[in-house]
Amino acid sequence: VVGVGGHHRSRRRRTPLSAPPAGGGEPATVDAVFAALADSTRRQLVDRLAASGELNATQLGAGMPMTRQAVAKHLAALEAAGVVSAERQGREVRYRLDGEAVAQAAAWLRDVGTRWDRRLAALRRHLGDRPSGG
Amino acid sequence: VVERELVLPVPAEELWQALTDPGALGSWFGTSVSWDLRPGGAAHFEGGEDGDRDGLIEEVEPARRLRFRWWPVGDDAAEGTSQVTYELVPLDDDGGPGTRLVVTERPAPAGPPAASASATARWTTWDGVLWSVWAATTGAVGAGRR
Repeated sequence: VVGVGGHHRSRRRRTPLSAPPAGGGEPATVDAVFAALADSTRRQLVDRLAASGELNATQLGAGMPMTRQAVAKHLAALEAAGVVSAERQGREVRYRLDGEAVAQAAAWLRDVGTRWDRRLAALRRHLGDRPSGG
Repeated sequence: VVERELVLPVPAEELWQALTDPGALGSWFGTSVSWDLRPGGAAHFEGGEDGDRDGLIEEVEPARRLRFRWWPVGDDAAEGTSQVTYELVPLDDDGGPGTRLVVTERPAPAGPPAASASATARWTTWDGVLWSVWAATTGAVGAGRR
């Protein structure tokens, strides 16, 4: 029924954050997105960007009980995961949400979920078709 | 994290066999599976919609728990794999033997298992957050939501 032989290894490098392959699924990036969003402060920053579009670090941290350095650190983490992108405009750096990494993470959830739904329905049928208890 | 939970009307041992025996897997898993079912054992998945994959068995506790990683053949395993866990809980039910199966699949960060264990501990279900951010950044509010 099964055989291991004959698979070829070809090294395919992928660009980690920018320009992900369309629909290709990039688990490392997906993981980074999830890890970045696991922090409530970072989710708050993401919410602010989702509402406002584009903000600088001062605007993003306004009213938050933390230092500018702490805000900068969170923004750096979000940027590293590809959730936000930063752009220097004159003397300030403005942040905006970068939809691609997040869309990819969402696509991963959808695709993997669909596959498990299909497999588990087949598992249920498989077990149902068998005489049980032996 | 993708998580699915279902109750199957068979004893845990029978479910375990369906989840692990290559012959049984052939009739439902969607790809042919060959694996060395012990921690550190190699796995290979061939055919099906996922394409060929290689894998690594991480944890085997017969009739209770199986965890493995898998990744598309050709990808460097360290670059990004995902981790699948089956957890089986026997149900003590008057209606006959039954087993609860919880399946989770999560992207596994690159790096040694110890590092990934602490990283995965931070996980929760992110569907809601992701969809709202995705909708905000693409303007596709409401579209694509399942």
